[in-house]
Amino acid sequence: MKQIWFIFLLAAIFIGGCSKDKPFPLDPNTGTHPVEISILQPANVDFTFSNRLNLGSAQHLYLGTFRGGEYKSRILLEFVGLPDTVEYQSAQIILYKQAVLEDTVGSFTAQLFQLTSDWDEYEAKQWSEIGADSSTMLAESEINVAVDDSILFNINPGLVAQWADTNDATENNGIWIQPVNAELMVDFYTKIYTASGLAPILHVEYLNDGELESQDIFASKDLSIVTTDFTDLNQDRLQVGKGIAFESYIKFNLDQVPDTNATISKAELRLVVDRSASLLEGYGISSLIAEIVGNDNPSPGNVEIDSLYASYSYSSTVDDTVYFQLRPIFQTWLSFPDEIKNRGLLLGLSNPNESLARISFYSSKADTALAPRVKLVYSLPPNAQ
Amino acid sequence: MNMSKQLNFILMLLLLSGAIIAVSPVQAGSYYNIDRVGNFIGYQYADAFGRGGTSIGIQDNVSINSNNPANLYAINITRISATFSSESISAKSATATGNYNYSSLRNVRLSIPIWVDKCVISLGLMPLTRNEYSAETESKLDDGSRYFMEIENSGGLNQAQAGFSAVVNKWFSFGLVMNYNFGKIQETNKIDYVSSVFKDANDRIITNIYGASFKTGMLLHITPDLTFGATYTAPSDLNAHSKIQYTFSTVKTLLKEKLQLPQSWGLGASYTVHKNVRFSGDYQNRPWNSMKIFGKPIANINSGYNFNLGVELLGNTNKLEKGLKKITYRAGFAYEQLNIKTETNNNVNEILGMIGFGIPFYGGWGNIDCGFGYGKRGDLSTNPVEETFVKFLVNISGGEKWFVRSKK
Repeated sequence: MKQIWFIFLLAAIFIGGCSKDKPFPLDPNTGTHPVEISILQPANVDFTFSNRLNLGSAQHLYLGTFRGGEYKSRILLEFVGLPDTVEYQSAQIILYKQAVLEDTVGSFTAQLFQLTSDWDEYEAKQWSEIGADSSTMLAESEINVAVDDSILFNINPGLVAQWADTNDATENNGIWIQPVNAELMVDFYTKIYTASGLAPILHVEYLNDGELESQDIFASKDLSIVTTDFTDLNQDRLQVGKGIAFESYIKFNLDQVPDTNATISKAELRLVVDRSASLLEGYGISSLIAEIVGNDNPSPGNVEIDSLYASYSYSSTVDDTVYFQLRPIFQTWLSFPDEIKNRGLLLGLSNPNESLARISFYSSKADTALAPRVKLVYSLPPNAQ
Repeated sequence: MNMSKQLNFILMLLLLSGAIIAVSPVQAGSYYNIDRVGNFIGYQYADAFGRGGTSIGIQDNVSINSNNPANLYAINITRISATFSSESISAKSATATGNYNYSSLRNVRLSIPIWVDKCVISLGLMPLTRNEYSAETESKLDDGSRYFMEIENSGGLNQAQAGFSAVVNKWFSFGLVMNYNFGKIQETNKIDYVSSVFKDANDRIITNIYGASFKTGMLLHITPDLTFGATYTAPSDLNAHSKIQYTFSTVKTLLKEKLQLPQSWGLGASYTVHKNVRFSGDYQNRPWNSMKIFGKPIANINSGYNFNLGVELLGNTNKLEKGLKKITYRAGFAYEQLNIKTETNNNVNEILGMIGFGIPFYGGWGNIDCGFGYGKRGDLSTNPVEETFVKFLVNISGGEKWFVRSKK
């Protein structure tokens, strides 16, 4: 039996001599490499639509018209806390200019009227919801945007006294301002700027026990309402925007991926910006977001959101092309359709009720070089090869 | 044999059996191990390897060669043997080269004559296929993003054997081996991107295979110097339980399927002249192109076959003889079509020249056999990789008298 120890010895030598070899360098043309595909949307799948929003939390009060009348905006203001035991001598409403959209020279006249019913600055979206008297103009003023830092309306102090008198039949629902023949739009400071004194002001002078006194009363409520109708949008462009919350629906089918167990290594959505149809510079563009659509057969105005998915910080002065990295949701759509079905994506802007910014992208109707496209990189699992 | 020696004997058997399975996954093997079940391991015995791989038509009372189970009946003492192999591969493709070594314990076997010169039972453990393989390449996507694609396979099928060989008459013997096939095969496909923008892919399939099959053989002594042998391995359905771990999922997908292992057969003959020069030849056929797993044909599996030719200058078995005359010298040649097809549907062939020798010791109770081979596998004109390799097998066997009453 001594010979068996020879076997042990040899086994130890062989086992001890084992070491891991480096992988063989395969010819780059062999093996199953990742596959790159570009997916375009089927014709007429994407669409854009508007969804009018309340601008109560915006840091802008827009008054005027621009883009050839595409945007028309009015301002609503309300002042409370008015002294009610004084004799009003004068009253002025002053709004301070924050910015001018597009044209930086020019002037227009604005007219001021009374509001006849209460309004909710955080709910009101459309002019038709507002109880407004347009028959009796209370004041009129002109602003030259190149030289004026504010616009000032002289109003009847008796009206202020009526507002202050709670026993008077005239309710204090505030005022509204409309532009007349404006070809530009002015952005005024909102009540958020009260601390700095730039918020809309009702400046009153009154006699109090025979003494002439004055007081600045800052607006307690303010709101811009865009009155333009955006129901017939150009579907050659996919728009995302604020104020009027333009949103766009897109959907890419994954039929080109032959196996649901494929690993998606990259899913990059590319959108090309049409700058001429966008409102970019200085209008508060921040982040684009893509959200998962949760309902079947979505249509304009009938798009339900499943969850927020992706965002993209937009740099308006640089980007002509926007890329979203959407790999996880494309993998889920491909491999776990029972969990989340591919019903498409809704594109929008974050905080859409803050400004009038708007980005227009080329839609599927554009040339393929400009149309929305998803670049997909995937690899097939071993059992599918 | 006393009890302690028997325990040592069994312990060693178990250790070596475990080592066969444990040692093999740590090294890279031939590129042509790449297919799903791995490449068939054809050369299990050092003595046969030295003479070109022939064994079907050779009756031998030293080597425990179950390639033809009918050949074992002449083993007249209890024998244990173990075979070790080592292969150094130099591989080249159109664009790259690489060198690999693969060493393993090839098999361990035990034969016990329960009726001397009439019937022998045998046990054994050996690999049937090997899937050890690792390769990678660096490439770029259209946008220039670099990635590494790596294929890493490991494991293979093993066989535990139990069989017998029996003599019917002076012209005819036959044998039967029951095989329990088992093993784990792991396939990993990786794609590692340099950029973190990309999600790396790492798909893994781990397949556990088990199931029984049997092999039978016969040996015909046409004359004392001329023998003819034949073998037949029946088709068998093996259970294949796979766990698939996809990159994107933490849940393993389970598949239970049958691996259909097709039949195979072989023919062999040997002729001895002047009592000490033996010529031999084998042909074996493995129509594995009909092999299926997961309910569908396995990609790139091909029918395999091999021709083997060998010659031996037999050593003198007279115990009184001394020196070099007791050594058996061998040489041979083998041609094999591997059971793999390339992606371009080409066969892969292997040619091999061998030499070897066998040295008896302890008066013929023990034997050391060595075989050396130099060959080429694949051809760059039709195959993606061409390998030249040197293969070395050594077999050590020893014997004891078990169950044989000593004469007083």
